[in-house]
Amino acid sequence: MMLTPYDKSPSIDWLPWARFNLHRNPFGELTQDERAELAVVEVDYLIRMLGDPRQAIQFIGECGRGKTTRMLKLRANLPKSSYTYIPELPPCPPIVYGNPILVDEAQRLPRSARRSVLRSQCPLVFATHKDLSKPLRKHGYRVHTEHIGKGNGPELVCELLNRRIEASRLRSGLIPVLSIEDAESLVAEFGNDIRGMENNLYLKFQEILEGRIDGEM
Amino acid sequence: MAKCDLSIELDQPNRVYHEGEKVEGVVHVKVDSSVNCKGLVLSTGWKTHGRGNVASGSVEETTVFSGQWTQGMHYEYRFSLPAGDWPQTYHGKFLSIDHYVEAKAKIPWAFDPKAATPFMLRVTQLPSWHAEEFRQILKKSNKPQIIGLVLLAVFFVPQLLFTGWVGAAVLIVLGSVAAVYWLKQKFLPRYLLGTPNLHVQEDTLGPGSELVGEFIVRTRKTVVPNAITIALRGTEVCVSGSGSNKRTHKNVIFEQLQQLQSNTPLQAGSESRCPFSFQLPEDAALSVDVNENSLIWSIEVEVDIPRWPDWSKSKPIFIVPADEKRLDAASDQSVAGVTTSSVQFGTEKSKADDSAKEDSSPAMAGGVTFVETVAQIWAVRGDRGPLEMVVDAVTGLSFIVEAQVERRLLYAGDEDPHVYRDGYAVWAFYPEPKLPLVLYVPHDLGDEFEQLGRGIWTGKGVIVGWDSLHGRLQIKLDSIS
Repeated sequence: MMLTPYDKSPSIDWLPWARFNLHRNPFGELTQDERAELAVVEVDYLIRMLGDPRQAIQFIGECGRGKTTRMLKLRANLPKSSYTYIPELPPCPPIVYGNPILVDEAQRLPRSARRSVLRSQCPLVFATHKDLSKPLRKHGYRVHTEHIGKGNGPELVCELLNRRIEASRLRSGLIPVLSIEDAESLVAEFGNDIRGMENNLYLKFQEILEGRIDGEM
Repeated sequence: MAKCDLSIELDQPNRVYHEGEKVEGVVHVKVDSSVNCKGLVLSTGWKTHGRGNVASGSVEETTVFSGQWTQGMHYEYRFSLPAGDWPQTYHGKFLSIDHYVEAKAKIPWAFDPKAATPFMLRVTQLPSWHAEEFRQILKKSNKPQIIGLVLLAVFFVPQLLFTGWVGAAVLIVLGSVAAVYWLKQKFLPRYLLGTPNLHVQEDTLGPGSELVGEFIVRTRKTVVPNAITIALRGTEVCVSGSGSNKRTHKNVIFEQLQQLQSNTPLQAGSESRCPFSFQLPEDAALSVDVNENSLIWSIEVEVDIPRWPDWSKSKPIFIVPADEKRLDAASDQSVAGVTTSSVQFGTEKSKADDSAKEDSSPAMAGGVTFVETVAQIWAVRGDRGPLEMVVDAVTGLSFIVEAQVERRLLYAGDEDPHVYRDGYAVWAFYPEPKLPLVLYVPHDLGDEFEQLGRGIWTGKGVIVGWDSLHGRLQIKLDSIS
């Protein structure tokens, strides 16, 4: 939720984050819509590709690197798409027709569901830990594979974490800013694991709020 | 692209609001080019933030303006919206709950501009529907754990038929681990202690009140425990992610320990009583359970036995608003609002069930129309307890259904028992309010739906349940053959 309070409105004394001009800890969980809104990913070229009904795209990568974020961004930009997350344990949820059909954790699709998806003749986007190009090609799809996480450098990390802070803004004026040096040290510690960085920053932020550690916000 | 700035100014941003009160203020709108607004929608509601998956609920929504906004003008719209009645504002480490006034302008651009401002809600009494939910939790916590074992057996035994010796070996290993656990955690401590009892006078209390109870034990053998300690704890429990990314985050927000006894012999066969009392803090956070975000209070006793496995037991405690009486008293008031409605449905259903026995066809909904049913479900869709009650009351009833078709399901799920053989499922919604539906379409209606596209379908169907994953009312359509 982007807050744009009226400039002249009085301060909100009871809100703990108000002293940093924020309305919440910026690194907590977000709704799927917020994740899509705040994603720093380029999807226009993927949307062009998906104009072809025989096109399949697969995002391969470890957890916390940005596969789901890309899927949610695509969903937000493609109103006719359908998005389904396949849980670890059965039952497999219903999968809706869409253009394209987005399947998160596609490696978990049970055989019958996978067959239905591959025979749908709709463009497909898979987020997966396992390369599924073989069955896709077998069903006549052209496959575009992206390995997610390699591009998560300090510049990108800096931009996306600052976006999250901005999305927690309480009113106009100064808010905490993450510098490129901060981002470099996060990348040095967590590599390309964005979720790990967010979790770390969440706890640091809480500790600063509680006065347990000194920190400049 | 044209720019539209919304901002909300509360008359009293630092006021503490209570249930039934109105939040008043003004929405400011500034546009840098003329635009046609399809609706300036204002609402009140709550949202969690922190480590858990976001849970939210709405209180009231109203459209204060629709029409033309002229370039360079500054518009102001006063509002007065109800503050809501649950959950109370809370700010913790992993869990926070805030109430907001939100403004959203529906304009024909890519994203609708919106603004929100928080306000503080303090609850003085438990909403009647919530008291009902609490009773359900209490009932659940009293269910014997044997149910879990039975379910495990039902799951594992058929596996053996398919997996043969390998399955049997795996089962033996798992069984051995479970047996060792049971021996250490249950059997051995009980062998010495018998069946100790943790008793609390009242398990539903207000902040600032006194929690009084007793630990009663009649040991089988004389035992000299190192210590018997009792702890009162308040814990934030939040779940983030789902599936393999699912994580549970816990944070103890309050902990008070009391040593009831140390190095005092518990004589075999004689009853020992260890009374205890805790003073709850005046500002104790209320017990909350909102979709994967909860604040749980419990009392836990631990008997530290030298050179023997320790014994422990935990009991939930419910912290409710201070002037709230016992749940039994609260339950007397729970006939208002939603509960009344579901009782009405229940009556209709039972009448309809009687008639169904006579003609062996699905129960027709008597005086209740589909429009009324949709309105009832729409009103409680954000609140699990009342929603389940209403859906239970209407399940099995037959209606003339009106639905705007959205999409056909490619795959209806592994274990959806409602899908017709050779039929399929369709996602749809009721035209107004836009309640999401799942229609189970029989094979013989396939062509009709194919030709309909995304139009409105009208026909007969039976409500068969609620899809909680997608928040949709499930309706099985009647076959024409």
